[in-house]
Amino acid sequence: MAKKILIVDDDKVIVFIQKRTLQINGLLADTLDFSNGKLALDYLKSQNEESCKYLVLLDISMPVMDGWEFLEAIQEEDFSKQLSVVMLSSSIDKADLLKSSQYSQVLTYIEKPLDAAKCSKIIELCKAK
Amino acid sequence: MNQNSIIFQLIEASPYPQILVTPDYPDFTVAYVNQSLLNASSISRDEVIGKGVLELSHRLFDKAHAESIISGLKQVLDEKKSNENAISINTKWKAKNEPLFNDKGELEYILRTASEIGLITNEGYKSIFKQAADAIFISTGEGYLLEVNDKACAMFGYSREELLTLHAKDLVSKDDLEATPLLLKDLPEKKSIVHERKAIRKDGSIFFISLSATLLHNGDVLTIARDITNRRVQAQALKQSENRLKAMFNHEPNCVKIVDKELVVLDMNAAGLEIIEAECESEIIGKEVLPLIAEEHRSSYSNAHLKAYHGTPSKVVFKLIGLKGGVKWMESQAVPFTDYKNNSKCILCITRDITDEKEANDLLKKSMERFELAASATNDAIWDWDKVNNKTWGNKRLHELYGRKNDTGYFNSDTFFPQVHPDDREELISRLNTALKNKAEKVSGEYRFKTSTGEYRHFFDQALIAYNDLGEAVRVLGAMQDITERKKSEEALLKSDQKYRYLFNNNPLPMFIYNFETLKIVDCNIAACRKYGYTREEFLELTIKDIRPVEKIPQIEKATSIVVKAGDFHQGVWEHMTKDGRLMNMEITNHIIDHEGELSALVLANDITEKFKASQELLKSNRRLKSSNRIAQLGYWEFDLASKKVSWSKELFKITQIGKNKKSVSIENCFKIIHPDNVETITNLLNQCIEKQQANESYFKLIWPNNEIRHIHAVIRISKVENNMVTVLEGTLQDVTERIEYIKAIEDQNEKFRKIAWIQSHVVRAPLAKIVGVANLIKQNSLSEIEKEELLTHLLDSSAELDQIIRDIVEIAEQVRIDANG
Repeated sequence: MAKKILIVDDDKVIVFIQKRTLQINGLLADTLDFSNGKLALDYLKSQNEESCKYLVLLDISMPVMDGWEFLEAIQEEDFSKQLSVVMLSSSIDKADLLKSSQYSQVLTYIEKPLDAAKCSKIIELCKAK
Repeated sequence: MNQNSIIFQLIEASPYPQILVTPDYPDFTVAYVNQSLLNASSISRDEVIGKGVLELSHRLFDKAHAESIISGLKQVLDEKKSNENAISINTKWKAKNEPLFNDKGELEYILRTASEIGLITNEGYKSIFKQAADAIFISTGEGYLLEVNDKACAMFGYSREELLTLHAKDLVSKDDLEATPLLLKDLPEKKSIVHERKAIRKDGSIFFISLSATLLHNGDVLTIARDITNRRVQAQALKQSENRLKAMFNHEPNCVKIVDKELVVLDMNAAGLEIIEAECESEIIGKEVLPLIAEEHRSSYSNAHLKAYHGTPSKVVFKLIGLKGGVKWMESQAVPFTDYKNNSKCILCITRDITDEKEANDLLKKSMERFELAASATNDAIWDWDKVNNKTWGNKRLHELYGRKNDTGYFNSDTFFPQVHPDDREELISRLNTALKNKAEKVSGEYRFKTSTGEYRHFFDQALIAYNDLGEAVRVLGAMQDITERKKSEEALLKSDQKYRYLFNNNPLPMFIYNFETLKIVDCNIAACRKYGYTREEFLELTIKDIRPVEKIPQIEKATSIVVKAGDFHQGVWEHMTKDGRLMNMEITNHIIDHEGELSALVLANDITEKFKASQELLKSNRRLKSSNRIAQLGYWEFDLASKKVSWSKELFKITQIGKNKKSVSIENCFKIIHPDNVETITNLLNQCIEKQQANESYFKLIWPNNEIRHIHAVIRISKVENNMVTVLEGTLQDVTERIEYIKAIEDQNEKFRKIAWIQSHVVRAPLAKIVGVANLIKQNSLSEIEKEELLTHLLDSSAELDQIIRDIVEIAEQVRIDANG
């Protein structure tokens, strides 16, 4: 079963950091990045691989379509079951943590920056699902 | 008249039934009957005198007999000579009718003498002759005496023998003979002569006789003489009396007249002429009187006079119309009268002018009628006590009191006083006696009188006393007024008065009465004395000004200067002062009353000093509450479900901007100003309160007329429940717009703070996270120099970004501070 990692963040530094960190920590799947939720959504709609699993590292604050809007948008989509979302945000607001837990696709909420320990946790969660 | 008397006496002396009638055909009125006839016929003289023989005969005898009698009398009238006829063919009686002429030779009477056929025998005749009461002489036609009876001897003082030697003229005085010679020579023609003579006795003494000389069949003369000396004296006296009567007749102030059967006036005195307005006798004498009588009275006048004509005196009142038209009321008394001058039967009338009397009587009658009417109409028992005769007249009411029906029975002091209550009797009698003794005009008294039902009723009796010239009480006129009900009312009033007096004196509230004009206190109760600190004597020396502080006196003077009347009622709170100068707030109730004839005020004074203080406090509290409500923009309302009206106030107007100056507003108008978003909410809220009977509250918006939206906090409670149904709701409306806006401002501010926090969370931490991430990567030894160079560049950029973010935060905080301070 093929797996793809979608990094959805508008900050290139963060995208760089996340890609290098994933790479360093052994997550060598096909990694794609999108600067807002809308681009990621369009991509997912364009894919017809029902057997493919997607791990989405989703930032909240983005232009065009933020993280929350993206989560709302995928709820009615068939591919939503193929998605596992990790909220990866610089916000330490508990409201954001609480809100994210209301979406079934969200595995966890992780504060930036991504590091080795956080990568390990993601791998564990993905395995558990 | 004297002559007639002689005739009557001779007839009376006759032993034969004799009747003397007047020659008035066909009646032949009976002028006299003797006792012999009365004895024979068993009738009384009064039944006969004045009656017609014709009528009498028809009554006493059969028709044929009556006609025979009239026929015999008629024959005398026609022939002027005597005759005989049988009284009845069935009887043994015969009658002789003889004409009697007066001294003028006129036929004055017809004497009818009855005798039994063959009765008068010589013996019988002699016996009668001898025993006759009158002197009887039988003489020759020339006057020589042939026979005399014993009476004749006794009358003239001669013996029979001496008399038989004398001539008739020897028995008459010379002067009388010279004046009037003997009339014997006239006898053959007249058959009978009646006249008077001056006679002379044997001893020369003179006396008067009446003579009746009758020529007998044999040519002798029968003379009957009666001593009339005494009668002459009487006649002279009578003559004088007649003269006096004539004088009286002429000078009689009343009308004296003589009328005949046809009411033709035969004579009338001077007064009569004046009354009928006649200038002279000729205007009335010989004329009928009826034309002078008012038409409506002519019938009664005629009847009364005809009745008198036939012997029954009668009286009639009539209206006379004088010859000159003057009208007078007259009263006439008519009696039968024989005019001997004309020898006819007529009517004597004495008529007096009663015009004034009648008017007075009419007035008196009307007055009496009015009195009777008043006496019968009044409920008073009217009584009139004739004290002299001790008889009392009473009206119907008095009869009722005695239980007498049909106004029968009599009253007097003997029937009255026993009916008076024993306890009142003595005083009543004493009062009456004192009044009589003091010649008082009036007397009055109250007493109990036992009525026919046995009940004692109270009466007030007032009477007028009339005295005669001697000062003696002769009449007492009074009226008994039944005052039982009044007495009962007075007793009830007395009891009531006592009861109210008790209530007044013992009333726990101070009460006093003052004269409304003088303001002087005239009565007070115990509580008033106690409250104001005065004794009763001291209190009654005061005016109402004395129980007020000096500065309030002008106020009380103004208040008592208004016009009031009994029954008026005033109430107010006044400041009163006790004897020791302590001020009290008194709630005064004034009832204007008539107290012993003076316009006064009954005052009920209630000390409300404490209550007044409390009410002042309450007033202050209410003011505070109103102020609070005004400040809090809180309005109270009541919603009556039946009328669908909501009670309104000034505060509610301020809150809603509707119902200015109104006491109530309809629920529909209330709903019109509720914001459409809240109408359903408020409707449900009200329904919920009504159905579940529980209080509730809510916020809603309403729209003012200027479209401004206001936020209202409504509280709803149950005010009244009837038959388990809510009928009245109450609650408050509070304008909370400012509060809401304030909260919103706070929330806005909070939002800004949240935004700062968010910025801190998201924006500030974003470059920080990048710096940490870059640092973590640099720490890895696997990076190339180029990668390290790139990471250092990212590190510098992120640090610069963080610096800028911190600056932005400081700027936003400053802006929030400025906004919060307005």
